[in-house]
Amino acid sequence: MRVTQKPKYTIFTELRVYVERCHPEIPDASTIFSRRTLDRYFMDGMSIAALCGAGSFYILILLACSRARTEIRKIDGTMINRLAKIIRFPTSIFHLTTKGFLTDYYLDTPERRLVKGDIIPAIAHMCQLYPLLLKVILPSTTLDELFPEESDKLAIQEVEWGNIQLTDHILDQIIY
Amino acid sequence: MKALIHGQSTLEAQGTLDSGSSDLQVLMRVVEQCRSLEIRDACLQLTYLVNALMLAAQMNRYGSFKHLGISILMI
Repeated sequence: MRVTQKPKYTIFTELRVYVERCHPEIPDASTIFSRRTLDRYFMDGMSIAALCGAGSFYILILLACSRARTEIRKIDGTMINRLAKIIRFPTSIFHLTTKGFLTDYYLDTPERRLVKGDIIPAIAHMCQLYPLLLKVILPSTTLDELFPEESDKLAIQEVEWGNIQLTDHILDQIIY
Repeated sequence: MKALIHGQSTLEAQGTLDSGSSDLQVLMRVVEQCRSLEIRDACLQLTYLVNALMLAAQMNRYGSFKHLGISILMI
């Protein structure tokens, strides 16, 4: 006897139901919002968040101009983390020795040279020439959803992309 | 290459590729066409990246789509 298994109720099922109920103008929501598609969007989003957290929001512009979307999609999560680590610490890595000391090793590899010589100067140049504010990518509705308890939402919107400390704090809030 | 072909066909349709126009003018117009296509493509890529980032942020934040904004519909 063949038993048909009931599909698991997941967050993707919830999204499909939500879209079918609240946005009837979208035809065939089950195809558009299939689990695989959403999984891909989610993975892309997390990869982008990791890279932005390692560098700055200006990484978005570099990725868009270099059409790196398909390449990013091919890289798995572990490699994205390694890439983010290289972008964040391009000159050295910290290593905990067996005696408990924290030492740093100076590394000079081609990819680290690329980050030091090209990516960081490009972002610094863009920070000077094109100062952008967070409200460009964080509209007030999204901000309300992401920071319901923060009182100073207007100040968050006025943060510049070049302000690494504050953008890192905001990305931490977004990711974790 | 697509931009070049598209640019040339557009110019031919507009009738600007007549004998009077020099090669440099044609080249300049094709370059303009390529540039606009590149910018459009980059804008599309940027829109996708930002929307994917927002979607992932909202999924991580809530684990539920009850509070989800419109960003999923824009991908």
